[in-house]
Amino acid sequence: MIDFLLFSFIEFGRDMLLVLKIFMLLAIIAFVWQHLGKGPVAIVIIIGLAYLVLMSPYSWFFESAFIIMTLLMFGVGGILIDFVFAFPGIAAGGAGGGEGQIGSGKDLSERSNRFDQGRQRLHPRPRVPPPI
Amino acid sequence: MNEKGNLIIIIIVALLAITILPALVMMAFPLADIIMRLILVFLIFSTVRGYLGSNIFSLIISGILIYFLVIKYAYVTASLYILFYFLLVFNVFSIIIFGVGMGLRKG
Repeated sequence: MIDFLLFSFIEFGRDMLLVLKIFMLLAIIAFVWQHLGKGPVAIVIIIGLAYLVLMSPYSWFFESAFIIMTLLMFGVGGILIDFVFAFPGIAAGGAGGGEGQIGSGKDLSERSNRFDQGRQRLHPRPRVPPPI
Repeated sequence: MNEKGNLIIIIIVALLAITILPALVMMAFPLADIIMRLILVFLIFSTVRGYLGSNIFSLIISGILIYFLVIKYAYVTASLYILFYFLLVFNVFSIIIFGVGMGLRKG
């Protein structure tokens, strides 16, 4: 049973890697055709890029980058931002139950008032006599 | 683990449950299975044709992709399709995260 599951996972991983490589090949071909047309130079560049991206020892880097780029294109970054907004403690650093650094609008106005008072103490404005 | 950690785990479980839902529906209703496979075939063929244009090469590539994604791993592909094209593109995940987060925080 474990052998079967292990084999299935390995087979699934290999198949998904093949599908990923096909999509990367499609992206390369579309990119080169868009910029250079369908001439012989484009075909040579497609072959070179396909070797570098799909079959070279550095292919793992390009595959990871392609996956990350695709996920970001679909809007995974928005989920992370939503998590930060839903749990301000994460943005403040640490998983503690405290409030976030940003806080509410009331906190913000209090901080602004304190800042104005401190500035008044440092640079007091000269009193202007009332107009007669 | 504190309350916030539990909240994150609950949200992740909710997201996973919604992701698995299409596969369960496909298993339960054969008609939904067929319709989803048809949609996936159209999607794959239109995607490949968008990349390569209408030629024999796009037919071959589409055939390979359809074998792997629609025939061999249809449930996984359907779940990923629903995940990316509906939940992520239309920002349904944001609603879930805010809904679960705010609801549990109040309760």
